[in-house]
Amino acid sequence: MIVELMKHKININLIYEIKNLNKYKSSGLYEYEIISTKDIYTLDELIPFKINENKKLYKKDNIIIQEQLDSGNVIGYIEYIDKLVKIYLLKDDANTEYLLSQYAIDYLICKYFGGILFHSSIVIKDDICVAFTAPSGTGKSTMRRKWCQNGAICINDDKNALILENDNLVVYPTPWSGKHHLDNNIFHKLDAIVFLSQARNNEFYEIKLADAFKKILQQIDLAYDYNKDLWNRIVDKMLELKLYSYGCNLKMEAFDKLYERIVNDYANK
Amino acid sequence: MIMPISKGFILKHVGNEYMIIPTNETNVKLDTIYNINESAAYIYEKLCEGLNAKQIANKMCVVYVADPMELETDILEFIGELKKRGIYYD
Repeated sequence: MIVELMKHKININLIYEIKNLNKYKSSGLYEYEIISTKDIYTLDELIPFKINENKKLYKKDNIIIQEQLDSGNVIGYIEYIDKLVKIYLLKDDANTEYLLSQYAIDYLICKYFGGILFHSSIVIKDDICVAFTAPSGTGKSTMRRKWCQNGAICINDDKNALILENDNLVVYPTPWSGKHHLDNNIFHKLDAIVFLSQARNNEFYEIKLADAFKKILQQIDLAYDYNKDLWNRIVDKMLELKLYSYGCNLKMEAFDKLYERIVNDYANK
Repeated sequence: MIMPISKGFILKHVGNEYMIIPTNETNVKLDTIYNINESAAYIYEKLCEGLNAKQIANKMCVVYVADPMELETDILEFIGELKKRGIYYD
């Protein structure tokens, strides 16, 4: 299926369905391609240039090959061939393909689309665009739900693309939207980031810029060799936004207090 | 010229902190972030420009009004730490 994401046309041809891909359906010529196959992949006798606990990276001519591991077992390979990303699915299930295809779109965003992926749930309410970020399980989606119950629209509940456009950070959705499959084909300039934590009472904490930076680092990919300058500019832009560290009980009163604070700050901007 | 500083890291200045951060990782481990002070950041930048410890010491002694020999010793100690962390190679 040819889709348009972040103003780029991509042919995404996967074995399993990504639930909301249809929302981004397009037609015509495409420049980028993500394809998936169950073909057997033979890794020549290459030496990895990068190893971490769940992947190994190899280089063959100008192709980067990613060997994806799960508990030490190879579950698939990804070949990054310029604007084509080819997934070889060894572990034949939808979740594995979802994970590997997420790496594929991440690569295209970072290398060609001028952005990064941000693990966050992002909503728009009254023309204010707010990102909730926190380690998984903290309550990003719960907070998003409270906002949506009060009229907000969610751009993406899990993986948002942040693209630098005319010196603004613009949030674009991706169809990779986590377990709730919630994403809408809309984009908006990002205004604020809320670092959520769970607390008995709803309270804002002071946050130093360096601490905010470390929290952001845990929710984005680090810079790659090919996007260091852009990555730096995007991260700096994120740190220029309104930043909130908010401990909350995730009840409706937590929404009320946060919304009131953000609206006040926005009005006084 | 082969640079002894690894290209797999970047120096980031945020607020009043300086950090050397790895690149090409999808998940950061906070213990891989190396917090350094302003002087160390200056040394790191000069190492990235290809200067050696002696050359950096000669530059720094003008600014810091310090003995270049002592500065060179401190710089070599910092380089030792960078080596331990895989940021600098002989």
